[in-house]
This record gives sequence, C-alpha cells and structure tokens, in this order.
Amino acid sequence: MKILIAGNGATGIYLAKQLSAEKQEVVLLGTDKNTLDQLDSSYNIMTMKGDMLNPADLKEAGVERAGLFVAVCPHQTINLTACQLARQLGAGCTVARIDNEWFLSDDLSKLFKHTGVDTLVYPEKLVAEEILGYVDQNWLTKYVPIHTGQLIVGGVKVAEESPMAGSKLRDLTPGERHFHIGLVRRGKRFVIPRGDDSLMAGDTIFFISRPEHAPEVAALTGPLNIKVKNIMIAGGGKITRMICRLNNGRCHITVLEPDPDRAYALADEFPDVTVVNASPHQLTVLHDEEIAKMDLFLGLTESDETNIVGCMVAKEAGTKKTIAAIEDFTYIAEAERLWIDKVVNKKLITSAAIMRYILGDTVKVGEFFSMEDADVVEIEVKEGAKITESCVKDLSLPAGMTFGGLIRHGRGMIISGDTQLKVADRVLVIFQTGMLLKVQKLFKEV
Amino acid sequence: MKVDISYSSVFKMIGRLLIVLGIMLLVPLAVELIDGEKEWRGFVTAIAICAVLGGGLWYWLRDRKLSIGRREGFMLVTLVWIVYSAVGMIPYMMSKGALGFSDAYFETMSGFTTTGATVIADVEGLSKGVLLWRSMTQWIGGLGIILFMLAVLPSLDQKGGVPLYNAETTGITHDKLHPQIRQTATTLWIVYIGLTIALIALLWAGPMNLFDSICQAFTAISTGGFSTRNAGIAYWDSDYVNVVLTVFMLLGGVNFALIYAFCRGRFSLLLKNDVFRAYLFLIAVAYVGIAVSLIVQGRATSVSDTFIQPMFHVVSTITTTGFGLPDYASWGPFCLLITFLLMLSGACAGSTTGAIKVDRLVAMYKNLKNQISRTLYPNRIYLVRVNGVTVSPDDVRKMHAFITLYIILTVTGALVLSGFGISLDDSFFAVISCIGDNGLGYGLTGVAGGYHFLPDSTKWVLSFLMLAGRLELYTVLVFFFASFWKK
Repeated sequence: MKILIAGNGATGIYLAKQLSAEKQEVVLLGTDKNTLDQLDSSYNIMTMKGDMLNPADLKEAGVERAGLFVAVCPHQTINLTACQLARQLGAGCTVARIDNEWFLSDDLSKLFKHTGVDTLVYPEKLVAEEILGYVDQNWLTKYVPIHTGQLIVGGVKVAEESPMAGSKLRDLTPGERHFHIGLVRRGKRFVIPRGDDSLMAGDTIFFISRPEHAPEVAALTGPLNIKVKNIMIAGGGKITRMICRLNNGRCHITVLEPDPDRAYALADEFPDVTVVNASPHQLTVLHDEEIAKMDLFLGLTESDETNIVGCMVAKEAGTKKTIAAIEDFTYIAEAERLWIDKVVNKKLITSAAIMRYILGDTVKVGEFFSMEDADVVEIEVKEGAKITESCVKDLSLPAGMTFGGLIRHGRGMIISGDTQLKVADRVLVIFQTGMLLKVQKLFKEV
Repeated sequence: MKVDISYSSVFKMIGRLLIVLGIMLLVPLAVELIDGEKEWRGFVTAIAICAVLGGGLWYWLRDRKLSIGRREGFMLVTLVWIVYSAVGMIPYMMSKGALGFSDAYFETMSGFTTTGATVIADVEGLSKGVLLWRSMTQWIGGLGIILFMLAVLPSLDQKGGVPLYNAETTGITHDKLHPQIRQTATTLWIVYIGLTIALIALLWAGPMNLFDSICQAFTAISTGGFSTRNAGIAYWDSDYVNVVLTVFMLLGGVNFALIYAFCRGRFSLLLKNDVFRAYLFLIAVAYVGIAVSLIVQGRATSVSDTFIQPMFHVVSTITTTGFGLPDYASWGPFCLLITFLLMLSGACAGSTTGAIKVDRLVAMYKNLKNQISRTLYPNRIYLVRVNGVTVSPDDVRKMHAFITLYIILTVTGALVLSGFGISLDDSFFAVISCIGDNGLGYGLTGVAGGYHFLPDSTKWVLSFLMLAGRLELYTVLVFFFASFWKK
C-alpha cells in the first residue's frame, strides 16, 4: 500500500522507518531538507520537501494514489486541515495527530469522519492510559488486556531470585500450560523463544494468558503487585494533565513543575492534585513531599536525562515503583537495566496506534501494539485462509513469529502445538519487525 | 504630567442623569398632589433644578463627543451619587419639620446608599410624598444608580458602559450575565422588580396598608432599612411581617445572578455556591449565639422571642438592612459584639448589601488557611478557590488591600467621632454602621432619629463613609491619590 506521511518530526520519521521495514511504499513529506536527504539515502523511503497544506505538493507526492495519509506535524489544526485536503485530493484513509482529548469524544468522531479525517491520534492520552494501566498491574512492565480482558499480554522482568532464571522454557510448566511466553528481550535484542531456549535474570518476558492465570507467572518471576495510592510526577506537561484527568480520584497525585505559570495552571485545573513549584533536582523538596512514602514515581519531563535521574533518586529514597518517559530510543534499554521499572515512549505508542490502523485495511485487526523491534497483532481468521489447513505445529510457521493465544466464541485461550485454528478465531500473533507482510499473507484468503 | 480627563463627557452624562432624576421626582410629587398636602413645593423646586441644570448641561455640551474611560467612569459614578444626594435632599429641607443642610444631605445619602441611618425622629409627621421619596432613594440606590441608568439610558451603554458597571458593582470580580452590559442590567432589574412586587403583595396581605407595604418593601429588598413608622417594624408587632421581611431581606443579600439562575431552573448552582453556603452558615452561627445568650439570660420566653426576633435581627444586620428591634441594645455585650461582627461582614456581593461581604471573607479565610500551610510546604502551589473558580493572586491581593483599607477608614472615622466627645462604643458603632451601609443605631444613635444628635461635621464624615462603603472604597478613594490626576 502506498502511504503518505506528512511531517518530518520524530513521530513521522519513526513511523516511516517502521512502515518501510514492513515493506510498505512510504513517501515522507517534510520541510527540513537535511533530515529528508539523510533518510532518503539510508532507508527504503521516498522523501519530498514540501508543505502539507499545499495541494500542488500533495499531488506531487502522489496523494491521489495513497491508501493512507498520515499527518503528524506538531500543530493539530494543520494536521486536520491537511487530512481534509488529502481526502479531497483522493487519499484513502486519513490519520491526524491532535493535541487535546476533547476531540476524541464519540459524538465528534462522526463529525471528523464527515469532514475527511478518519482517525485521530492523541499521543499523550495513549501514554497516560498505558501508565494508568500500570498503576493497576504494576508487577508487569507491559499490560494489555485483549478482547475486554479475555486474554492479557503481559511483560515482566525476570528477577535474580526467580526460579525462571536459568531454566529452559519447556521445563517451566511440567503439567498443563496456562501461559505462553511469546517474546523475550535480552538487552536490546528481541527473540521469539523456542522450547529449548533458556531464560536469564534481567530478561523481560512477554507472555499471553487468561487473566486468572497471570498469578502463576507472577509466582515464577518474583515481583508482586502493590497497591498504588500515592503518585509523584516530575513535570507538568500534557501527559501529566491527562493522567490527572483520567485518575478520577483513584490515587493522590503530587506534581513537581519548575515553571511557575505551568504549575499555577495545573493547580487551577486540578484542585485535588498537590502541585509543587520545584524541579525534581531539588532534593530537599522531594523529601518535604515525602518521596519515600510514594508508591509510584513518574519521570514525565521533556528531558530524558531528568526522567532517568529522577527515577533513580526516587528509588533510592524508597519509592516502590518508577516509570520514566524516554523519547530517545538509545536510552530505553539502558534505562531498563537501571532501577527503572517501566519505560514509556510516546513515539512507539503513537506509531503502534497508527500501525494498527494501517493493518485494518488489509486484514481485520483488533489489537495492535509494538515494542521497538517486535509487534503483537490480533487478526481474525478468514474463510479459506492457509492456516486453517492443519494444526499449529504442522503449519511450519516462518521464524520470527509465533501464535500466542486466540479468542474463540468470545472466550480467550492460549495456543499450543495441537491447536487447530478455525474460521472467525481471533489470533494473537507476535512477530518481529519486518514480518508483517508474511503474517498478512498467512491470514489472507487463498 | 497631567492626565486628560474628558470632563465634558462626565458633565454631559451628569446632565442627562439629572433629567432622569427629575422624572423620578415626578412620582412623589404626584402622590403629594393627589394627597393634597402642602409639601409639593420641595419637589417642584428639585424638579426645576434638575430641568435647568440638566437641560443646561445637555444643551451646552450637546456637540461634545462622549468618551468614557476608566477615569471618567470613576468620576462619573462618584459624582452622580454626590449630585443625586444634593438634589434629592431638597424635599426634606422644604418639608414640614424642615431639616438643616447637613441633616438633609446625611438623610439623602443614607437613603441612596441604602444605609438607613436617619436623623428624623418623627417620620410619621412627614407627608406621604416625602415618605415615598425616602423609600424610593433606597430602592434606586439598592442595585445602583448607574445600573438603573444602564438599563434605561441607551446612550450610557456605548463604550462607557463597562467601566461604569465595574466602578459601581460590588464584589471581588464582576460577573456578566450577558455579553451586553445593558442586557445584564436589565436582567438584574427584572429580578429586583420581581422580588419587590412579591414582597409588596405579601406585606399588603398582612396587617400593612398598601402605602406602608410599598415603602417597606422598597427599603427591605434594597436592604436599606428606612421605616414609615416612628417605632420602625415593631409598630406592626406582627410575627407575620417579621417572618416575611426576614425571608426577603435574606434574598436581598443573595447574589442576584444566583437568584436569576435559580429562577431559570439551575438549582444546583445555589447549593454548590461557596459564598451562599458561607452566608447561611454565618447567619446560623450568629443566630445560635444570640439565641443561646437570650435563653441563658431568661429573655427568651415566647416562640417569637426565641426564634423570630433573634433571626430577624441577625438577618437584618448581616444583610446591612438595619431594621432595628427596639430592645436589642439591652441583649448584653455578647449579642452586641455579634451585631458588630455581622455589620462588618455584610451579605453576598452582587446583591444590595454593603460592608465587606461574605465573598471576601470566604476568600480571606481560604487564603489565610493556605498561608499557614505554606509555612510547612513553601514550594507547593496553593490557590484560593471560590465557587470552584480560582481567584487570581492579583485579586487576592486587591481583596486584602480592600479589607485593610476598610479597617483603616473605620478606625479613622471612629477617631474623628470620638474627637467630638462621642463615647468609644458609640463612635465605632456609628462608623461601622455607616461605612457598611447598615444604618443600625446604638447608644446615642440608638433612639429614633438618633443620628440627628451627632455634631454636624461628623455627619459629613459619615456621609463620606457611606458613599465610600457603597462604592467599595476604590471608586471613591482614587481621587485622593496623585496617580489619578497625573501620569
């Protein structure tokens, strides 16, 4: 499919790289010539310098043949207008990144569809939702409920003292198997493990199970769920605002914001939130605000370094869990090696949301999310698809992908080698980046 | 450098406003003529002055362009209250028991500012026209002279409307009900007139005659406090009258915008309103304090003594109406101090009340609470929220300055009065009563027409305080600072 991405900011570039790795035909329309030239010369991406509000530039970029138009510049009004223009010029689906949550209300989605914008993506809200998911399930670094909680995808770090460390996958569950470990991250590398691979302390495993069986995994990995009542957040940006809004009085929130005007605005908007006009570097203030008694510390400032250091200081002071927002990919693995329990990345989360939309065009997709070099997708099995021909172990799936679980008649179950896929099953596929076309082929009608 | 103030605009408007005053004076004149009494000369003189002066100014400045900015707004609002009082006093000076210049001015200013402090002992001796005019001054002043003009004079509502509205309206911030000031003014007057008509009907249904009902309704809903009887409200000696008046004084002390919202079915706003709740809370606490004190003293012997009278007194005082009960002065020092505090407090801003107002007390309470917490957590952001809306730090400072100024003026006023040999509690009482536009008397001023016994010079001081209190200090005090006149 031809995909036109407008906006050469971090999200646009990341998305372009990701999509080109998935063998899609990507055109990136941007304004910064240097960035564009660099991308052009090192990736399978076509770049073009131009203004996304200029119909002539859009036409030259081939908007009329684009199956998908994605507008991700920093200004929402430009994104929305560009989508409307693109639709008028013949683009298929349109996706716009926005800056506020009130556009996302259900009554408005019709209006936006009508004006030519099919999907709105608000990155800060996605991040806030991910963090609040962690508040409930904090023994997991990743927690995604699938199909209203029929299955969960969880990511968890293997602790030093865990019985998992050092053992082979097939020895973990001697009896009946209730969870499926579909992906392991060791350092920066993602591996789809086989039965005779062994785990090491410090690995992050991603498993699929029914929610009631998740405690079996917890018993093996070590860390337990704690009840989060007090949260301290460094930085009063948009993600913080979203968290405060979605929190609904569940937890008490303390926000540290060094800018007086922003701190004032935050205190004005959220009467229940304690706002402190200080930077997370001011140790005396952190102790005044009783950082030791916090259950969760969130580093959500614009600076990755501040977030990482903030989390480490919090951990040292006695905060139970920490999350850092990190925008620079090179820091992510480093951060997880330190004492930081979870890392969130706006670009990853945003591009996952957009990827899910792209997939919806060719195969019916439910959930989709990505973890840097690996992705999880929920796909429905269609009449006559190749994979219904034999049971899973005889399918000879290509390397780099695995079937984790499925939803059959609304009930979730995990997949073993003897499972026979049927039409209308919704299968959770874990695959490494670049495998998407192959996955799609498997599920396509013959 | 001197500032350019458009005096011609100010006086052009004063001219028009004088003509409106002349038209209003026709009402008591008509009553006087129908009644066949001899007091009509005062009204005719006043109307003639209005016509000549007003028409003259209008004609003289007819070609000048109106330009009303902030300075002109302050000047016009303050001058209009002074000029209206100066013309409005003529009927008193030319009536039967002809008042002296100082007495007449004090009485009229006390009327327009809804203070209700009176120098006339024998009000029953006044003709009906003068009595009606006396009540009318309070009714007009209740919502504000300028607010009245904004509703009736389209020419006022050009660029000048908003500064004028802001200069006269009470409260920390001024809410608009509609985008257009004129609509806002009209809406407020509709609420006001509606309440007045309801009260007239209810009073007339009781022991009062129609004339007394109209006059008492005018002075009760405007929280003014003039009476048509020498004995005041006690003349009717009726629990019905007391209860009806208590309810309407209470309403007169509520923000009219809130009453408007309530009438339009937005009931939840009333309950969520911090200021309204604090207002009821203060009334309840004061009532319990006084009732307990009366019970302990063995004075509460009947239902009326225990419930109706103390409640009437509390509501009459906090709303700055100042209908006096004949024997409240003998309730003892505890009740007297509560009365003092209620006089200082006043009711909700945006109503017809005077004094500091509950809005400011609520904001001050929250700010003080924040200041104490701030000593423990110096970096935390603490905001003052009233009715769910943050009061900006600027407005909080302005409000504290207001309260400080209020106290300074009160103490200065009391200093002047005590200099004339008036006892300490009488001095403080009279000053707090006047600056709060309350009008209640105590001690020397506690007898009918008691303010008459004060030295003439102090009447001018008190008149000034009444005006300053009614226009919430800043509007009047700006003239005393060089920054008003110079850049």
